Amino acid sequence: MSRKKITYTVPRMGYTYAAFESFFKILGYDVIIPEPTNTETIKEGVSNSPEYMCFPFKILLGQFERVLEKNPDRYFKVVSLESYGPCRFGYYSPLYYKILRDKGFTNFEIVNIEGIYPPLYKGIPRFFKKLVKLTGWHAPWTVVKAFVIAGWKVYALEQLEKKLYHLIPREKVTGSTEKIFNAAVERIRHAPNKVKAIKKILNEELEKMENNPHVERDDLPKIGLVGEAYILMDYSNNLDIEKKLAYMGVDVDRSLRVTNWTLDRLIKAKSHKAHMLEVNKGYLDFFIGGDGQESIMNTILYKKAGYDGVIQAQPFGCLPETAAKEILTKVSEDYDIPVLSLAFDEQTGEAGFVTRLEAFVDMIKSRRQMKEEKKESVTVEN
Amino acid sequence: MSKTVALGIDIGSVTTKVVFIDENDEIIEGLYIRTKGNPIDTIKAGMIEAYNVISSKYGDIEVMAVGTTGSGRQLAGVVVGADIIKNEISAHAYAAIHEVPDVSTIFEIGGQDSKIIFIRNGAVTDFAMNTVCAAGTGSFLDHQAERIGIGIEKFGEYALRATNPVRIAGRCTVFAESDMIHKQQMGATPEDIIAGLAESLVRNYLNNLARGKELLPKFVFQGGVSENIGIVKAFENAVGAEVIVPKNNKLMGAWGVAMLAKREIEITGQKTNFKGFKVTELEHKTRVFYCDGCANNCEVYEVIENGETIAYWGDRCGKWSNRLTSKVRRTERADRREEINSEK
Repeated sequence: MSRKKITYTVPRMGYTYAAFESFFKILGYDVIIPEPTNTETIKEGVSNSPEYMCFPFKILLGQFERVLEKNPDRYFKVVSLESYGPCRFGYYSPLYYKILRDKGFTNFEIVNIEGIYPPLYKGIPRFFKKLVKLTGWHAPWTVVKAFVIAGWKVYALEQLEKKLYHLIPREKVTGSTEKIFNAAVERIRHAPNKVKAIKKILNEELEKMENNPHVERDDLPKIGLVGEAYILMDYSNNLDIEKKLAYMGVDVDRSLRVTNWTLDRLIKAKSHKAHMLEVNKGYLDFFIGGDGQESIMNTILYKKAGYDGVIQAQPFGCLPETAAKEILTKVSEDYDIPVLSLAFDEQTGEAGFVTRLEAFVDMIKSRRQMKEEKKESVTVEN
Repeated sequence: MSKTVALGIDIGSVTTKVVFIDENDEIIEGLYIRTKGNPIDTIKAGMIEAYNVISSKYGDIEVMAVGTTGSGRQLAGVVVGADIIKNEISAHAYAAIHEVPDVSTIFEIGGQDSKIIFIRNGAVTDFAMNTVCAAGTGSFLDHQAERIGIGIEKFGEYALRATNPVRIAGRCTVFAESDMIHKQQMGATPEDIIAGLAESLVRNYLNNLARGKELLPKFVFQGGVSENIGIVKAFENAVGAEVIVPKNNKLMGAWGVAMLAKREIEITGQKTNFKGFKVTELEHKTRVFYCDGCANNCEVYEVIENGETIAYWGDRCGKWSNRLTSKVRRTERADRREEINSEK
């Protein structure tokens, strides 16, 4: 199969799809990015998945299916993420393969990427074998360059996103920052493949956002988001929870981003695990699959960083997160930090969801007020 | 003499509550009606009915503030012109704290959802809402009452008369119903089955929402289901303390939001957005369509008043909802221009 004829499709993760796209473009392939999660993809995915499968699986299946369906004359490499472990995440690729084959698609193969697992003498060759299968044979420096550029783009997009959610509750004209942000994402997406150029665009756009009229203040209620990576990182899966909270006037922070997630899983795995064990001591000291351990760790870290509340986003029926949810009740009590668990499934009705968010924000505000009153009364007594 | 009142509307999934309060936050008229299929018509009917009652009692009335809550709050807020659109948890908590100042735990069971609210020192510190299943909410009880052939208002009495409540699975409505039918075919009396249902409902509620949380007195139980004395009794048995059912147990949400709206207006000193009772004569239509502007395929809702669109929602990018704000801005700009011209 000649190189030109292969088209890649990757899971869409929030705004970072732009980076994955440029990774494969640098290697000389075509890339088609799936649509964001919408009623159509959900319908496709749900009707072809086992009923008790995780929601992210259904979404991704729907997205891939739509891509394959629309481009019958191309040959696809479908990139799927994968991990070992006790949860269903480990079975995604074989299941995609079987289901898509059963649906009659033949123009694809599934490739995946995974971390380096011990023992190293087996793990490292395995990693490279998978990598070659993923990218095809290339000069090593081309692959390294693609990695670096994609990495920088992810970093740039995340910086922009951080800035956006920082500015939304502070801006003077509602919605003005978002407009600049949307243009900035497009600019990063089409940026030339040079680190310098990406840096320059990033700085320019950050400055543009900074110059948008806003009032800097640090007394806003702060909410941290934890939960399952895919639901958390893709705005179209979680009904844009970050933006909604930001527009409600909350300083919102997401614990999992593509950069730290990949670093913690692939490169810093050992120190990350040690850190996690130390923080989670007494709550959950072993791996339960998915991001269950991270959810607990990040909740504790948010409390230590002075956050007022934590929202856990999980796909309905996710095993690790369900386990984490029960443990979080205890964490919430011990550390005195309110935790709201939201389960996402195929429903698109936002009413119940917005009700819970609004009530949570209201509650956090009243808790803050109470604390301040207490502080005042203590100082008066003194 | 005209009387100043505040209006609170709570559009729940099953019932709609309309409340008028006076200057002292006391309810002067409260209505509890079924929402049925059309929330807008229900609100209008409720408003007219309440207006007639009050105006015959007090003569002219002046509405100073309007608040809406419940799952239909956005729609109702747009139609009547609300000053505050508040989620039902805050509204319920506000009313409960007003009624029982030292309350610590609020149980609230409505038509489609159930919630528990924890209060410490007069402020909400935690809450939980049923997430996935409607087991043990008002709709299910309604359905069972119909199936057994006993009026829903008699359910409580039946439960109290039971001598030996049977055990019924409360985890899921499907399991509960098949359990109930099985026990009934085996020969259990309706009293025992209904009492068993009340117990399983409370057990499921506490397991689901209050797990791992500390339940402290005083307890307040409100929402439509609190009418049922059988369930109140079951709650008292489960928590081992008195459970207070406030006198306006069914209207708490609407009452709370009416008070919140009144407070809001008093603080900001603005004029109310209320469109007046003439809204009941206007024609309102709603429409839903899929936007095909991008791959998001958002479901967009449109509210039309007398042929003119007054609200859009559901679009993620703001393509539709911004249309209205820009329209408002345009008219504002036109007004300003006229002002400047007239000054010249």
